[in-house]
Amino acid sequence: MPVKQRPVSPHLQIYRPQLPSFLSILHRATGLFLVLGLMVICIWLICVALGEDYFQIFNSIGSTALGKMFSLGLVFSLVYHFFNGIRHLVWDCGYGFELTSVYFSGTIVLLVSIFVTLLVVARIWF
Amino acid sequence: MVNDLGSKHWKYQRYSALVLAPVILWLLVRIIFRPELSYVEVKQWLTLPASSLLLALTIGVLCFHAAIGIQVILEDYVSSDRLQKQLVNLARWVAVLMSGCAVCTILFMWTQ
Repeated sequence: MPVKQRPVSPHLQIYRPQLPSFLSILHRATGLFLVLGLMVICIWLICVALGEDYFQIFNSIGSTALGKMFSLGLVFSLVYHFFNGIRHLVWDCGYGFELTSVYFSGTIVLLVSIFVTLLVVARIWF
Repeated sequence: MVNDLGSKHWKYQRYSALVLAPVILWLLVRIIFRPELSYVEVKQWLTLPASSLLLALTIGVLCFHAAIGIQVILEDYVSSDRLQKQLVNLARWVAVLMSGCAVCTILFMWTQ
């Protein structure tokens, strides 16, 4: 079986830091973080099923400093993974592969994600 | 590579992304325009057949999308073949358990 000799990707420190590679790594990192978020959503669902007391406990944990930091990370991860995911889907359709387009769409995705994250967080907290 | 063809996973990852994109868009729009969420509202929403079915399906597709995503990362960075397979299997089991847990919780709320 040739399968056993498959090469693995070079490790991250091999690459010279640049916007497209940074955004690609960020896509994976936010994806991983969102798995944690998925677990939290399951816990939230269980709290809802257990009754209003548990729902309030969940909310009060969420409004502590640590909870707010976690939800900020979660919102950014969701928003960024969403917009960059669309960017990936556009690539999969065969568009936007020129180097200038890659940098342009990447910058737009990053800026829009930061803006939408701040908007969502502001709406939740204030 | 674990068992099956990579191109199949590549496609499934994109299909599930296409399914999830409108749901996430709806979620973001909902939070921005109406961030309040009371317990009564959640309960009411979860006792409607359409919305609870949609939530269960969404969590199922999310777990699927997550399991494939983690598999791809493991395939890229875990060089030991045996460990890679074990970790991919673990990720799949966690995904199945998580969606099962969510579905059971939603069903449990129906009996209340």
